[in-house]
Amino acid sequence: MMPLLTLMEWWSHRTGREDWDRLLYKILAVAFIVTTSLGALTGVGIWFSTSVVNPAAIGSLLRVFYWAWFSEWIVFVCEVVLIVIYFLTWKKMTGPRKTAHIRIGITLSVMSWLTMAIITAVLGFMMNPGAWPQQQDLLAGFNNPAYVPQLLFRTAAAMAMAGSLALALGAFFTSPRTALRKESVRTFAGWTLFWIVPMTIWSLVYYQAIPAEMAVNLPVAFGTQAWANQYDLLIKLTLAVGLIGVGLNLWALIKPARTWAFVWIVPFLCICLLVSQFERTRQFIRKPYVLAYYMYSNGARVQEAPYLAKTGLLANSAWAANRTITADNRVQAGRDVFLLACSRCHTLNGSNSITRNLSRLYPGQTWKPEAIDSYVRSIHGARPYMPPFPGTAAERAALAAYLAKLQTTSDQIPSNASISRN
Amino acid sequence: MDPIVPKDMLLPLPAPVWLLVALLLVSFAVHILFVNLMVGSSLLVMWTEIKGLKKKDWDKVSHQIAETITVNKSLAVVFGVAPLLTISVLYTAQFYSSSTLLGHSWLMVIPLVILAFLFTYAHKYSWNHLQHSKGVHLTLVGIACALFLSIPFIFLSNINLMLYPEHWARVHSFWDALWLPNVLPRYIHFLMAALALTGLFFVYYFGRKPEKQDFGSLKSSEVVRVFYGVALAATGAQILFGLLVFFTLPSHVISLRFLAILCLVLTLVPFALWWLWREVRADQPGARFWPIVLLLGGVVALMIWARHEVRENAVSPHRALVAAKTSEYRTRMTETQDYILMPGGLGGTPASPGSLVFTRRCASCHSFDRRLVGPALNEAIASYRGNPQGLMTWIVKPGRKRPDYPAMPAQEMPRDELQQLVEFVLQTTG
Ligand code: HEC
Ligand code: HEC
Repeated sequence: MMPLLTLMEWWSHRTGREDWDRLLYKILAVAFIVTTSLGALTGVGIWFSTSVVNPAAIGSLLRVFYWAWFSEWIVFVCEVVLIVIYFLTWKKMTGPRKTAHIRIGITLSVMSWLTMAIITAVLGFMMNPGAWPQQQDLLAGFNNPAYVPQLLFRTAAAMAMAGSLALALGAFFTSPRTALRKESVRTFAGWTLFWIVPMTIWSLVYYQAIPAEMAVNLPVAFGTQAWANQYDLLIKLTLAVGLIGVGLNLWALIKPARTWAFVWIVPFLCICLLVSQFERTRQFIRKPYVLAYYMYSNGARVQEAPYLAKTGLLANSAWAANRTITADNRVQAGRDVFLLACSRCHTLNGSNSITRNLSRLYPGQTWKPEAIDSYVRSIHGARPYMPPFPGTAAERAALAAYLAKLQTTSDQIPSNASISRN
Repeated sequence: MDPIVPKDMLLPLPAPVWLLVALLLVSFAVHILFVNLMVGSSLLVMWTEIKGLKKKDWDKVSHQIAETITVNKSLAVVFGVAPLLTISVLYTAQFYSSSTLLGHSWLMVIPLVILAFLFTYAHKYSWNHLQHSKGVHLTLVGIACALFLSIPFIFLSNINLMLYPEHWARVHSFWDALWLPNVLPRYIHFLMAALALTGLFFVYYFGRKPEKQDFGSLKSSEVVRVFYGVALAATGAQILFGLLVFFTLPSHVISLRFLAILCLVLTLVPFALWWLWREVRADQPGARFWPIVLLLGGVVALMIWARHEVRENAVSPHRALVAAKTSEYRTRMTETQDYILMPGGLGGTPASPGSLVFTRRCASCHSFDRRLVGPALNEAIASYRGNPQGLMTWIVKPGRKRPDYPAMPAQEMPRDELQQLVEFVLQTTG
């Protein structure tokens, strides 16, 4: 957002367009409030949610990337301080001091890009850690294969998104049929179109950098298991959303005045949809890992797997209520196993519900513990996006007993289930 | 009750402990400074706005306070990230345990803070529009204050809970954690600190350029005196509430050094109180401002240190348990890898040199009879039977064969190790 605003500020300063300057200020005000309340807090919110959802993963990541995040934080502090200054001095630094104000904007733009550059490294690492599993140091982590394409893609996407948002806000803040409305619609649509080109190119390059065994996940990642067969259809839908966005932007270039203001919100909605679909897919395809090749989504490390298979999940968990399995506590212990091994990805009845998955697996039948047991034994072979079962045969049987029972009884998972690991 | 002892991460700390502690204390000091200002100013803005209902001029003071909050609150949030990261690294086992025990309540911090911020913005930017509907306007700031007053409960119950692993087994929710003995006294202690600090801040803010401040009939020296009064009352109350915190601390966290720090604080505070009192009574207050700031700044630094002492005293026995458990786990895990990956499972084949190399270099990705990251070797080895040279070449410079697997990274190793390894692999799969 900041590069666009700064660029336009510079332009309106050079051409002496006061009306543009006022419009930009209004757009900035919205961006300012959103970044300093929603933006800053969702940034911090990641730390809260990951620590509850998957402490083992974020704890490990932090040990690798502490300094990366620390420097990102310093950049982020500068960014927030600068945006506060930039916004609050917009109306005070005028006349000859305008040039200095524009420089603040440029610095701010560079800072926001740096923040993204660092974060992208971490995201890329989670998907493809390159040489890290062998070398285990920070630089090896940074130097991961998906880094450059992803960063370039994200840069272009952020620019295009800013353009679309400015298009919507600009239309909202100007009166219809004025020259200003026409110009703003045209400018912001042009900017967006300009960035959509590199965005498309880099997304294709990025796609090539996805590790092959993760690309196998794409059909499920894109929708859900139930949609996997309609992968083509989903791709077409996504393309259609993209085309609507591009089409509207083109129309904006040609006929900027010929419509109601709220139409200009649609390109922004389109691009938001695309980006969130991208993030969702990116999150999914690294399954069964949370940190590729080091840790599975359920928090078990790859190197731990043999040991857990020998000694058991329950025996090694500080939190499980049942550490050993007896004839009496089988179902209860099975519930603990479920919390440890499956609950990071499955709920009982909510999203990705295990009961719904089981009924799809055994339609119209009674769920037999033996069948579930043998499914779980080769669960990773059957569905590569799920990690191999990280426990003993007895635990697998207990899990199967518990799951089979769910067909007739209902149960509740506590909100602090993730603590069961470690 | 026996504490619950989780394992630590199996990766080394990213920096020496002393450095992380230093970073934690410094970044926390900055963070809490702005948090104090954010919470304190929200309370004071409401108070002065209510005062303004009777005496119009206070409304102007209030408006100026409102201008500062949004900056302070942005800084409070961004400066919170560094201490949050650092505490997660330094006290991983304790902090993640207590966070996950609180579960959703801990996550509620985020939406609550966002809400509080939005109400704060709404309050600030509607000042002129709602000039004549003060009821509505005060409701906005009232909600913001209520939110700012409730959020610290969540923080405190978490950082308090992390100190006492012996309670973890019976804490199932936020409410359980809230009623642990030390939380409520610490909460009041925090609020008073916020008021004291904010009082001083506005003494500075409104005392800067007295000639430029215009509050009608209200003289800026009078405003300054009122904020000195706030600081004085809050600092005085702090002695009382500090003692309350002290007496609710469990005995095992109190050490000599901690007591020494507290004694030092207790000798410094009366001086600060005396100077504050003199300022409240002065005609032209302001002369003692910087000495007071210096003194109270020292007190705050000492209290942050004392707080760290308590945390260390509370956590160190548990940390030792965690470390012991983690290292035992690591050893047993490595031992097991030597055997379990062999065909035939958990047997007791003694480790040959080749098998040790295998454990070190290959076992995280390969088993003999199961797919891990790489394929099961019993099958994958097929094309290398009787071709050790080919296998060596593959290990040193792997190619690409299976589209549904990742690429195998090249494994550099000394020639003799490579030979032992290949011999072992071919033998075991033979
Ligand atoms: C990495 C996250 C993850 C973990 C851990 C995980 N699952 Fe799954 N599982 C999934 C996803 C994703 C699906 C596909 C759901 C969909 O798209 O409908 C799935 C589907 C299933 C299905 C239906 C499979 C099919 O063939 O249709 C079953 C049964 C299942 N999981 C059981 C389990 C059990 C039991 C565990 C614990 C041992 C487990 N899962 C652990 C992610 C996970
Ligand atoms: C980081 C994980 C990883 C490590 C470590 C690793 N491998 Fe592999 N290995 C793989 C993957 C993945 C494949 C499948 C590659 C492919 O087929 O494209 C593979 C394939 C193989 C194959 C089959 C080659 C073929 O021609 O079909 C052999 C043999 C093998 N590895 C031996 C070893 C040995 C011996 C070691 C220890 C020095 C080792 N690997 C270390 C991941 C690993």
